[in-house]
Amino acid sequence: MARVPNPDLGDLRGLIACPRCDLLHHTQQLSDGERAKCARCGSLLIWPRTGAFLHVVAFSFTGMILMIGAIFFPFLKISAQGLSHESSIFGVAMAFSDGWIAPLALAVLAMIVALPVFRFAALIYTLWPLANGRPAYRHSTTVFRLVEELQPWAMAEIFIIGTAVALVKVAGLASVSLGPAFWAFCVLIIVIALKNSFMSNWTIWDAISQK
Amino acid sequence: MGRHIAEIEALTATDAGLIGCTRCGRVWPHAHVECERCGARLHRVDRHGLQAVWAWWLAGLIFYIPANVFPMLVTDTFGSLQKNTIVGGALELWKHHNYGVAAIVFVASIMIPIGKFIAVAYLAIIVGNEKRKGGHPHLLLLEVVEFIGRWSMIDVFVVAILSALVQLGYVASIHPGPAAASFALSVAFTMLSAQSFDPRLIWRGTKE
Amino acid sequence: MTETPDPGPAELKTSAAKRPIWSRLSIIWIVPLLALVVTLGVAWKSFADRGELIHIDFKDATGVEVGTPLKFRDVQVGKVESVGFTSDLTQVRLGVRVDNDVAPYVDNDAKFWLVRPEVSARGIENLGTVLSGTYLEGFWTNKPSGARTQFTGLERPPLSPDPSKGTIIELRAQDAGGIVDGAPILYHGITVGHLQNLRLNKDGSGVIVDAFIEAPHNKLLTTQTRFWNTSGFSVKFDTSGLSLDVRSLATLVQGGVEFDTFTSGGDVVKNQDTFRLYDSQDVAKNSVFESDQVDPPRYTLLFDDPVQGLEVGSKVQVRGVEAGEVTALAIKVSTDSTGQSYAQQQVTIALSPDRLGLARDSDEKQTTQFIESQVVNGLRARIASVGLLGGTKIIELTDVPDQPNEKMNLDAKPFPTIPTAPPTANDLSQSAKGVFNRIEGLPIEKLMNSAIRTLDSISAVAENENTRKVPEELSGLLNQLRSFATDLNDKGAADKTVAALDGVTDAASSVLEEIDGLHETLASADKAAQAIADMPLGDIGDKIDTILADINGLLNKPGTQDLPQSLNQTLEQTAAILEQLRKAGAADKLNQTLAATQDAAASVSKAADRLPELTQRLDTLVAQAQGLVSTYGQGSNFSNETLTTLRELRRSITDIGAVARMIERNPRAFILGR
Ligand SMILES: [Zn+2]
Ligand SMILES: [Zn+2]
Repeated sequence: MARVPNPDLGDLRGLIACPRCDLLHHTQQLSDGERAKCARCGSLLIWPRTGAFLHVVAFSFTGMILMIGAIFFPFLKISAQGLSHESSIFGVAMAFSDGWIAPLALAVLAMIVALPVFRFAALIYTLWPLANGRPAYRHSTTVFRLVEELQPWAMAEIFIIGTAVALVKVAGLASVSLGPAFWAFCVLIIVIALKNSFMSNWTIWDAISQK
Repeated sequence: MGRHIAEIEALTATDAGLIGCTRCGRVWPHAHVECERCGARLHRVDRHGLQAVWAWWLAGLIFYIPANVFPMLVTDTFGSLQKNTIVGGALELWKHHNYGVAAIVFVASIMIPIGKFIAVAYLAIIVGNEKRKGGHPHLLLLEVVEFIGRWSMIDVFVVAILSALVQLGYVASIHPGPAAASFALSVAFTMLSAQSFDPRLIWRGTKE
Repeated sequence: MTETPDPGPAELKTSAAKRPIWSRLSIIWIVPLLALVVTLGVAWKSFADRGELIHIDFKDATGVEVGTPLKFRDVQVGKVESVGFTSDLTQVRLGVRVDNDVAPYVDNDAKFWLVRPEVSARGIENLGTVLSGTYLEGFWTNKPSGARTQFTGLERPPLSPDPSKGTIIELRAQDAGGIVDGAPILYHGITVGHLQNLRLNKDGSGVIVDAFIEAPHNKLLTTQTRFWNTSGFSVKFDTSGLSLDVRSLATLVQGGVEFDTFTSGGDVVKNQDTFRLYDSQDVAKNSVFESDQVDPPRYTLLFDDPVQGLEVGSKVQVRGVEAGEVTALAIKVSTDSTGQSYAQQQVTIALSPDRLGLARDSDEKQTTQFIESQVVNGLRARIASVGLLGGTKIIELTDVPDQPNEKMNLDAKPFPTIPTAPPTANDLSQSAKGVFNRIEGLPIEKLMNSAIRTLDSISAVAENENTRKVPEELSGLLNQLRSFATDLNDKGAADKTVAALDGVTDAASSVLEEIDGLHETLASADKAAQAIADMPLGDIGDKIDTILADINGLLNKPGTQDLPQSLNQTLEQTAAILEQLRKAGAADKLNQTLAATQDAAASVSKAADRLPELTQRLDTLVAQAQGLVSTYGQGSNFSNETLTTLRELRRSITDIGAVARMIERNPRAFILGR
């Protein structure tokens, strides 16, 4: 019954192909909070929410502020036998800066700081006009596509779990005190999770393309 | 009829002579090369895409070898250097009767990466011989691989944090070993391998 | 409506009412706002808490980097924020962020230094910094006094930053004598503190060094405590033989100071009290200057005669009482009224006011007034000799009669002068010769000769033809006499004594020959040191030991304590002289001399033991002989001859007895001529 025998370009706008199983669906205007899933594989396709763009922008702002705090505040400090040492997030990335593995330091810095920051900035750039009911800025498509493509490589939340693991390993040997940057980072991953819950890719793409 | 509802009822974009964008879901006529909405390249659902999977998979596997041979952490306590490989670290814990932690390290740092390689290879082999069946478990497997792929980076971050933090001069200092870089590369290539895998193949099989 | 309508009033273009901005704002903005507030709050707090920035300049900041902690009482109170240079690039300037809670106390009295591992003769210090790396340490009091942000770091850690952990005093000495900064302070061989900040005093006439004695050892200090230099090692000959005294490896390398309190009754020592640093333990024990007399009144003496034998540290006696010491020797060139230059020996002495009978805390002015008044009464300074051979020179301040009127020159620089008198005639060789003259003056030789003559005549009498004719009794008597004579000969007392005395004379004259060259040797410390190096220590040591043991034995005999002070000194000095003589190669000869003297004394003494018995026997013999002779008839030639011989013999023996008794009574007088 979902057959489209002779589809034309005009009709194609109302169609969505599931990226995970290629099944064709008719798009629908969903009301707030409704979620549309693929009929075959169950992948979440559309999940519009009222004010989603605004929320994403707000969370992105929050994320950037937190990230700035996380970069500049002390991150962790250990002390043992009267000796102590503290490190910032930047210091953690720079742990790899010696010798031939130095590029790894850049990679780590990118994964935990640069990519999340870029994604926040890019989301604000893309969604700010849309949230205000204005047409998208130039290059919004490219910017948002980068946001999408870089998503797996932004690993702030993985980093904070890594911190937890490291703390468990060090805890027996030395006492560790957590700096403001650590807490900023913890909040940051919550913000990222919240932000993601508001991001319906299809909806955004739809909005961007309505020039 | 006794087959899966989805298989009977549904029309895929390919079946309809169209091509779907895997990035934004927009559907385009068959001849389109690039999605006009999001600018992503449009891929046909065929096994050619698996070459990239295999290429990244092999690269990941190659880097996984030095990641296990070389030390991941170099611990310097009172002037004595101790080099821990991934396996060595787990064995050390086991020897110290720290079975729980040893098991966790073993699973997280050894079993899971190896499992990823096996899973990706299995999927890449199996999808070619499959005709629209067993989709759900395979998609689940792929999603697990994609998910865990990123989390494997934890090991690298732990090394970074330990090396940055444990710098107590002569008493104890930790430095990253060469394996950290190999491991990071291995994880990255595995991620790329999983990303290159076109999940639509799971459902479609191949026409060739 | 078909015609063109009249242009009526135009419709207003209206637009929907703009919603006020607050209603357009979503509640979601609270989230970033909250994040911003919290982040700014944390930032502001850390900015507000970041503390005071101070700058500390160091000549050498090895091991310091950004993040190096600043510690106060071993607790981190800040850290280095920047490492740069002063504008002239001569010093490293550290920017240090000090925590707010201590910042108000980091003021004028604050001191900063670097703590880094140090490997020295004292051992390894600050071992912890090998692990933790160099850190900055600071010390300041708990009273804020004048805020300051620019400091100069100390080049080395202060002796003790915290005055409550010990006592800091100042030691003053003539010269550093091998002490270096950081040298240990020992008490009975245990390190209880350290020296630091070795420096010249203001006029450059001496050195000052700060000494820190750690608690609780600082309780050992009283104002009577005396400090002495134990730098390096000392080789000492004494009754127990040769001993090498090295207090510790550290003192060998860095020098060191030891202290002890020889007399009770001192007061509590306060920080910054000043103490004299004596050259050695002996000096410390015996010095006429108390610990606190670090700057006693000093005077200049100008001598026309050579002051050979006088040295820095030589004693100064005021009317026989030791009251000071020589502190400097120099030559002063002056010009007389005719423009002729002449040189004088300038001797600087220091006097202890309380030894002069003045109040202990008398100042220089009072002391000078006192001496001035005594000079008017005839007090003069002169060089005198003391000791066995008069080899030790001292300065004597005594009343010298028949001196031209002279006054002290109070304006002389650097110290007032005390007029001098020519030295006493008792010079070295004369005093030595005196000893031998006294020995030679003894009538022993004459006595011995007469004794021998007597014995010879006894033999002659016994051998005489006529004697054979005398009755049995007499012949028995003569036999007794003969056996006595043989006895006496066998003992060889006379021969031995004479031989011994000859030996003494020979040795003495050879010693005298050596004495001229001796002074040169003594004058040159280098040569003395060389002599020690070249010396076959074991060989000579033994000999010296024996002699010193004898002298000590003499000193320890009951009754020695009653001997005059000067004799005691003489004997003490003998030990010193012996050592000097040994260096000059005269040791053997002197050794022989004294050995011979002693042999002589021993033999004479031994002989003397039997003298009363002999006298008695002779008396009996004479009595018997007289009885016999009388029975044989008066006027017989033989009888008279025999009787004369016997009487002579008796007299000789009585004389020997007298000498022997004299020697027995005072053997020292025999040996030392006093
Ligand atoms: Zn699907
Ligand atoms: Zn697309």
